Amino acid sequence: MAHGPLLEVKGITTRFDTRHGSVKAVNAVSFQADRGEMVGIVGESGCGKSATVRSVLGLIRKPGRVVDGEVLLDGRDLLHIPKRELRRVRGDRIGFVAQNPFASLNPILKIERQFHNVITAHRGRSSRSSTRPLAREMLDAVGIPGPDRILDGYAHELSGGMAQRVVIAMALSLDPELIIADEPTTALDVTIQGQILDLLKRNSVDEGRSLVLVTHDLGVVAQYCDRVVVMYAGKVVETGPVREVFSRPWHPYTLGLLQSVPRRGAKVKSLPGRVPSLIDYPVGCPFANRCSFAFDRCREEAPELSPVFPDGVTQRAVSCHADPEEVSASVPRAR
Amino acid sequence: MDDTRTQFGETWHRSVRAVREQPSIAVGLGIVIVMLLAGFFMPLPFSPTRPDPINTLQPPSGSHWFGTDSDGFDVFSRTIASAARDLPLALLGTLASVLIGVPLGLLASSRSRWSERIMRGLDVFQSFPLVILAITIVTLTGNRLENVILAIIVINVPRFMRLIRSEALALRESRFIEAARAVGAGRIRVLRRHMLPNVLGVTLAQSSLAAAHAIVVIAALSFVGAGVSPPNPSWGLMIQAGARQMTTGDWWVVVFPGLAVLLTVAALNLVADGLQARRESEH
Amino acid sequence: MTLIKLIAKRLLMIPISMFVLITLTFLLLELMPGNPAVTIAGDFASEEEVASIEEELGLNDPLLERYVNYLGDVVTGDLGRSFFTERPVRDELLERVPATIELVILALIVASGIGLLLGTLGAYFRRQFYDRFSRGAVTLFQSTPDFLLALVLIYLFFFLWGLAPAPVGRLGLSGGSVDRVTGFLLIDTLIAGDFESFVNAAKHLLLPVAALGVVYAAYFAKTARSTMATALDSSQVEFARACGLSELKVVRYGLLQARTPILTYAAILFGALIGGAAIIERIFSWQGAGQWALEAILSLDIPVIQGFILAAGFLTIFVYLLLDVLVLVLDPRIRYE
Repeated sequence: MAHGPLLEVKGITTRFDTRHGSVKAVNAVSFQADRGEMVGIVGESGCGKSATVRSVLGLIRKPGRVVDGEVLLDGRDLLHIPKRELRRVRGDRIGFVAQNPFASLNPILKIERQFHNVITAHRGRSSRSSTRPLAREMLDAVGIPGPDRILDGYAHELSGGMAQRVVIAMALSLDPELIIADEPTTALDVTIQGQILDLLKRNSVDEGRSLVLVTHDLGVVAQYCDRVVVMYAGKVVETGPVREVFSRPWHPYTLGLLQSVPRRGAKVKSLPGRVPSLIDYPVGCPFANRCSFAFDRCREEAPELSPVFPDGVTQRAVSCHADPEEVSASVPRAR
Repeated sequence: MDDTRTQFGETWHRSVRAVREQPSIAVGLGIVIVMLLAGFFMPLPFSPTRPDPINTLQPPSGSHWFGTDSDGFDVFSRTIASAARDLPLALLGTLASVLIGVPLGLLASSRSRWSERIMRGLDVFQSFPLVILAITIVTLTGNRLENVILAIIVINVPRFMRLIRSEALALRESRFIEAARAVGAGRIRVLRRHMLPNVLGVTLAQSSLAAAHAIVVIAALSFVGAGVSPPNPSWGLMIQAGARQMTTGDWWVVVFPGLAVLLTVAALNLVADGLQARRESEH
Repeated sequence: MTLIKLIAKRLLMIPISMFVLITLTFLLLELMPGNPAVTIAGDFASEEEVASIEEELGLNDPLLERYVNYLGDVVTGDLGRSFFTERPVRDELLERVPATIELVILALIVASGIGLLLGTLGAYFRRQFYDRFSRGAVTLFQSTPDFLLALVLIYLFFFLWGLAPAPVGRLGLSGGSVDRVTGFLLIDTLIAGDFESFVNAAKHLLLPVAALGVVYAAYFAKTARSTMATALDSSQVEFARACGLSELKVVRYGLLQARTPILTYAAILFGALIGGAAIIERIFSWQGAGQWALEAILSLDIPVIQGFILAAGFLTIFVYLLLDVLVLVLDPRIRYE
């Protein structure tokens, strides 16, 4: 096995060219995922999390384009390899789980057919009778009882939770090293969310795979992830090990997120102001207009993401002009 | 008062922007205007209604730019002169269809059971071959120009009604109509000030398509002899007169009026395409 | 509800639709101004002659009585007689309709095939050079009246290059005749084992089918392009790509999703083609139902017109039924309501 992180995303910048202007959806986003690590990308709606992971997978289509950056999977830049090879990577080395399982599964083909298509796309032609056992095995692994009936049926016959399990099974069927899950539980009932997340964790990091989990739920990140990437207005504002970032955040936005989580006995604080327009992107820090630590430099000069090794080993990074100690000192203490 | 003035100004600016962004709209409109002007004002080298029996079936030459047909008519003059008949007919017919179909469609968008039944009845209409219907109407009511317009109206009004009704129904569901109602706006007011501007975009795009189709219908009508009064020229009539010549090699009798039809219809389709592309990009 | 129940429900709609069609057909011609008796009698007939024709045709009976008579006649299969040839309308219809259907079906196949191909390519290569070019070509052919294209094709392929036979009928002047089994020449010639006539019939079909097919392919391509564009933008297709499926498979996924609207449009085109075929039949002396109806309209032969409208309406209703059933069978979601 090679050394270094499995996935290194470096400086991804993605634009969408619309009539009203160029939408700067992803701005110099960098993060990494080690083998067997669960990375949570968190931020509010519209902060560019989905656009980021789609840029990583090369799924950005016109009017969008990835204008800069590298996506290194095991050292190989996915953004600059021929389409044919990228197709081989997708599904085989990177599995994808999207938000709405019914928007992923084909409504017209039988489930077995869809498994068959995915498997034969990478393992070469084979008959359906030879791909079916693998499909059944995967459905077992995600905890679906009676897999044969599911295989012979269609997507619309499944409940939301079941359908998402099927999608996860499909993503796992080629034994990928990395799974990217874009808000996999947002469309599901709250009661099932925990089950699905447990399932994901069990089948990914517990088996040595890496998992990049996109979510807007801080609690999920705190509970499941090893590393967190906080995004705002298309930029990474802070990243690092979950425990450290959540107990001693260095970025005012992370602080604001933590403060707006309701907790017993404390007042719920919400951040004033609004997210800036992604078309008329502000000069300087995009969070400046809502930041209580902001000063003149913040409005004029955009801060860069600078990696730091506080204990010499684990990497943290923050994109802020303010003093991190000051910010982390304001963390609400549990009563 | 101020309201209407700024509304006009806004419409003007949006139109100018539309034309600048989608060149096809400008090109299409330009062609149509040029053809109209040529049809009405261009001085013709020969009379379009008085034939020259000596010079029949002459190929295109210096004196007869588009040649002559089997009766001795100058094809060029007749082609241009036809533009003054066919094009205004199509435009008028389309305009009349819009003026009738759009309000009817808006009215039909009220959620009464009657309106649904009427629309279902109009659906039967859709399974009719429409050109046949047009020919039937014109023949049965008399070969006059007004009846050609009638035929175009009968073909287009159901289409506009269905389109406007579905747009209006979708708009009704939208929040801002709810808001207007909540403020106490009456039905007519809601229809006029809130629905009409939004329905306008769809109407415009569909109108150019309808106008393009109207030209083809008018050409088909005159091709089979319905609605024409020879020797008054019409593109379809010219094509019909020259049809037999296509088997004997005198191609110019059919090709030039045919190109005129093609050009006009393509121009109107271009306008429709441009309008449609603009509406798509707005979403 | 099972599939069979759904089909049965659709089948029950046919008599109702036919009833509405018959009523509308009756009304359409009754409410039109103009006196058919005058037309039949001619320009120089006297008033008595016109009156006696009116009496003969039953034009003086009250409206309701005429309607009931008409309804009864149609239901028992009596579609009246032509005002001019006196031949029963039903016989003429049965004789001529297959020629039209043969033409329309072949044109529909050509139009759908070309249209689907162009539309899919246009949707796949959206906003790129190929798309602009194909959209221009599509607009061009959509702007061409089918009869104009037919004439141009005759000039090019018959007169100029001698590749097509003279546009006179389904088998040409010297083509002889074939024993009629189905009325479809391509089938009957094969049944009779007459290969030479088969080729002859096919050759005569080339130009009219091409004229109709190319023009309507343009309409089809436009719809196919926008439907496929939506399908290729869908999340399902994105997920398929994310799983690493080949682009060909991805396009197949898109086609699966676009199947229903495309089939629906093909059914709509069928109805339009019946009308378009009429003028083409005239140009090629096809002796089909369309040409016959056209001549009837121009000479105000009302029973023939009514008969044609009924036939065309029935065909279209039938095709829509086929479409409904096909959609039900193909889309697994609808079956399990």
